[in-house]
Amino acid sequence: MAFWRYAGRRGLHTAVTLLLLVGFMFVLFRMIPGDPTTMMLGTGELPAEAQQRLRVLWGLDRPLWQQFIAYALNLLQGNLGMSFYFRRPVSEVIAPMLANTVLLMAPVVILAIVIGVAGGSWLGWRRGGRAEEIGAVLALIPRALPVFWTGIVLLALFAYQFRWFPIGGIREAFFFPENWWQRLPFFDITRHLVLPVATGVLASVADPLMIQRTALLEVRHEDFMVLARARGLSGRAQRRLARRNAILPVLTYSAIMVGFAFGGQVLLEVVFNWPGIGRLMVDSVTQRDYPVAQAAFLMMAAVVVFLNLLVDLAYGWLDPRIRGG
Amino acid sequence: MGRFTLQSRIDCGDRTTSVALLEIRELSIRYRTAGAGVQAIDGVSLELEAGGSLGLVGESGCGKSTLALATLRLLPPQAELAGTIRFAGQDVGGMKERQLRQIRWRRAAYVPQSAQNALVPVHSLRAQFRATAAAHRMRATEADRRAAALMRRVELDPALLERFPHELSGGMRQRAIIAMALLFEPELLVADEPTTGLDVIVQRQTVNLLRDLRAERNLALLFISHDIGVVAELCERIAVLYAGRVMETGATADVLGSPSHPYTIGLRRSFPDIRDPERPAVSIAGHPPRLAEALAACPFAPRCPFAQPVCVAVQPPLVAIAEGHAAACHFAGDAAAMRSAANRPGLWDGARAA
Repeated sequence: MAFWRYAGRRGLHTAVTLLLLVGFMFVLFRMIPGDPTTMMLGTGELPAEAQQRLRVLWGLDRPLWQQFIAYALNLLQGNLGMSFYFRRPVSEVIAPMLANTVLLMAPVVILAIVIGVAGGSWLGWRRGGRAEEIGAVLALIPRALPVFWTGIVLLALFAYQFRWFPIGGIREAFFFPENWWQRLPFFDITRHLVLPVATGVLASVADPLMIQRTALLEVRHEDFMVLARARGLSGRAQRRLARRNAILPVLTYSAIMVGFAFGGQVLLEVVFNWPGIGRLMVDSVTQRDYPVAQAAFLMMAAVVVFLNLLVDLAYGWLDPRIRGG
Repeated sequence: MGRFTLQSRIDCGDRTTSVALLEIRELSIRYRTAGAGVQAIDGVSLELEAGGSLGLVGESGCGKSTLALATLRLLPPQAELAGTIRFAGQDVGGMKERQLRQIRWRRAAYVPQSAQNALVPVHSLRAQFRATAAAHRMRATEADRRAAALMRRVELDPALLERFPHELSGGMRQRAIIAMALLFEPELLVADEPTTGLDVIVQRQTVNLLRDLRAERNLALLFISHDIGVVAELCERIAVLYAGRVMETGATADVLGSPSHPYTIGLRRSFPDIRDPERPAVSIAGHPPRLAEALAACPFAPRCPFAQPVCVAVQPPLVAIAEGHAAACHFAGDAAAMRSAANRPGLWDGARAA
């Protein structure tokens, strides 16, 4: 009961945040000099008369608040407008790119968090040993290296030198399986995923790992861990208990991580020639394709907000002390 | 370690024939630190019979909690043990974790300070009862059945089993831990300041509960407290600890009735006497020594109003003064004179230069 009241209150917060977010995005993009009519032609401007006709046609002559209401109503119906560059609805432009990004980033985030939590717990439990020192350094090195550098090194080794994996892209235009396992569904896509996912995990595993390690170190000295030993719990049960009580900080961090993952990793996508949303965002800004850029940013921000809601609700579920508060 | 030997076997009247449930011999515990290390326990020997009760008293930092945790080998890895700890004849000191798990909670349970967050914050009480049961291969249904009965025994509503620790008061949490401690009908209960941090009424209820449980379950109790009054009520025997050494030990009535070590005399004076409410409580000037530093031959000498040159030169052995009553003081024989001098106003105000 208390949980649902808490969930309702948090849901309301989220709705307000999203509304402010939409308004902020709208105003921000209207503050950029010029309007869509100045971009209609690549080289020169349209005649003033034509510009004015277009403004009336698209409703840009109306007051800003009316425009905002129209925009918000369209947004509610899932209508994000038309892309200037592609001359297609924005949702049609974004959807496939977003799917590609999710395909790439979902394994990156899941692996980074799973490996980070397991590794961080392991290191925290072995505080002070040689293994702990070496492990922490090993995790931090790839984090300190630039993503494109790690990616290029992996490509040089495993794509050019050993030729185990393709050099980039998401699938081959004409892929002919040579044996039964190459015939498996998604074989080609998985093959293309290995190197970018490995690069992404190497770059992002250190954060959840170090957070989990610190949290576990703190939990280890809690009184309930001493009592857990006194209660005769096995070493495994004790470690599980410590992990369980140390998980909250990583959970918070993972919401942020997932949010940024939805924005795509531009460098990762460039190095591996991956047609994802990160590249689309950069391209749409350079091409002044504001509807696409606005929608992409809005989506990324909305994902962060929603995940924060989800994490807060999960917090209440994982830590009963928060439910009442 | 082992700089003094027991002059006389400390026993307790007709109980000498029974095998000690807990037997600690010449136990020394040292914490490794970045510096010279900390000698928390220095050559302590204690005994607790099955069904018996022993109170450990002393100021904060005298090694009481270290000793309590050591009996179940619950100390952190940087603690080094020397000497022997025997539980029901088995050498606890040499046991592996696997063997320790057979004893922990099943035969010897531990009740920590109430103010501590000893219960897992993210699990309900029932989950914690079940996890404890599972660690000893008891089925969840059996654990639930016993948990409900034990909750009723400690006068808590079994419905509270569904609650989380933060939803209970300090006293309720303490009762819940005591109930959990009884899950396997242990022979020994090690209680480390279980009443500290509770208000007076709840303190009283907890003490009564422990006393009743002891009586009805033949439970041996190792009770750690800085509160002499509570120890006097719960324990048949008492050991006074100072700077990790036993200063005085014996039957509670003897030690508190005719204290024979200046520290015990001072400690006794520091609590108001219900039979003599006019007598002011005193405090012993100074503070316990830092255990990271080398101690005087008698660690209490720097604060002792009766200290003589011999006290800093020669370590006083724990000598028997009467049947089952021993004190580690060169002048334990003059205890009667010290006791009467102890009433002199101003005696405890400043430590004599030793």
